[in-house]
Amino acid sequence: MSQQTELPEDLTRPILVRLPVKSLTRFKSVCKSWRGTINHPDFVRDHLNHAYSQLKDDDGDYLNDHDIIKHNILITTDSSYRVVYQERRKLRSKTKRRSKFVSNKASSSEAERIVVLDELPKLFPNQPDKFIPSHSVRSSCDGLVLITAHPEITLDPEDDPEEEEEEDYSEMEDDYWGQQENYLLIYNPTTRECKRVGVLPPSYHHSDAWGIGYDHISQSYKVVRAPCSVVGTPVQVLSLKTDSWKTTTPFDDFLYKIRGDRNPVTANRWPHWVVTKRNTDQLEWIIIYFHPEAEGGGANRGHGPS
Amino acid sequence: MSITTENNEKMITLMSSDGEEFVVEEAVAAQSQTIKHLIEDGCSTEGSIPLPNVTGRVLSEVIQYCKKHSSSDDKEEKELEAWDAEFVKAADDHVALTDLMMAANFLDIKGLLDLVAQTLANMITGKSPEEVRRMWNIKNDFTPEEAEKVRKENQWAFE
Repeated sequence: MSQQTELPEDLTRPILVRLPVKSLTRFKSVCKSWRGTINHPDFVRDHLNHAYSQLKDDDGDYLNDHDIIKHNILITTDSSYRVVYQERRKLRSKTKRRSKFVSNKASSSEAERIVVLDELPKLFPNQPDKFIPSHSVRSSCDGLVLITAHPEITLDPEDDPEEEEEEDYSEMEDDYWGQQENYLLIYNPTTRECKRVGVLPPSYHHSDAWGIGYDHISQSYKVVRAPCSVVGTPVQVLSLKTDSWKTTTPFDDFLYKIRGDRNPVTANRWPHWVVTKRNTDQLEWIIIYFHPEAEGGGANRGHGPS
Repeated sequence: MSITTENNEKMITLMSSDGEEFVVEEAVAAQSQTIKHLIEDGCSTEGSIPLPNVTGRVLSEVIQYCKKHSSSDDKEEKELEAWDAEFVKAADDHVALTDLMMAANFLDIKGLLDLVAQTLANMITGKSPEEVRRMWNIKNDFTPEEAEKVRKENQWAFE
């Protein structure tokens, strides 16, 4: 390695875009130009798209489940309302096609890592050190996690509101939640960065359903808040690019109630919920989704339990 | 499109920056989008195509790659991947790989550019910023205070 050469500017990006996040984070220290490149939103987008492209074959189809690197992230809050980040990584050897994405030595391995993130409280400005904020993890998209934060309250861990029926919320609780300045955090466990993105709308209720999705057209993440059970009730949409709320009525032809997990499943970068829709005298189980580009919604009729 | 292949086997001559001439099948040379466009524009009819940015040593490697990839449509993808792996291994070090990547970029050969970029990325993944600076002669333009700050903000990545 005694020889030296120079790396032209236009070749830096194609190399950096292929690096893991940890290397990139370290290489912000190389020089100002590298730091500028790595921090630039266009680069962040390219890096993500490159990672997604590795999950597809040449025809643009997703590789079989066992062909790709499984990378599940599971996030929960523990009893003291710290955010616990659990990453489960599974690497399997690939039988045919596209072996280049898994290094040869990683033929079959499984690693699990659990990180308790204590640094979140530090991100709350102007709060006493002792203060423990409470968080609710709501949804995720592209590895970004949407968290609602309630800085003024610490709930009794035994009193888990997730367990309660939404009808059981009393007026007292409405006041309790409604008077606080509640806000949203976008947290990236991979880079360990956290950003406060906006004060919640005044009509905020703890039983609301929250989702985060990506709008390819405006190239912005969007947060959607929907009441858990609505009849033509508008939902609120926050564009993270403009940091402004907008009210829209994507589901106004539905009378639905979210069943099971209030936190959506993100697929194709859109949040999806399982809901029931009431027809005259029977319940129909359907999946609804929020479409970030159109700021609209839709439904897929599925076969639910009868 | 003016390119005819196989049966005609039209040959063209490429000239490196140091004056070395390479006679290759048009289909092989046309793996390079840059050369393909030059041929389409009629630049190949009179003598050889000059490539002022590519030395003979690098050009011979590039032609090796293009030959393999133009003749391998019906071959196993696996075999081609194995060949690619050997090919970049033979390039030996980051200096040769950087030269190869510059040529792939100038000649616009996407497959080769991807291959070399991935190889260089793998090479630096575990390195320190100082090692990376040494590889490519990059000047550390942070003041000591700035360097300390950037390092502190990203401390976890050094652990």
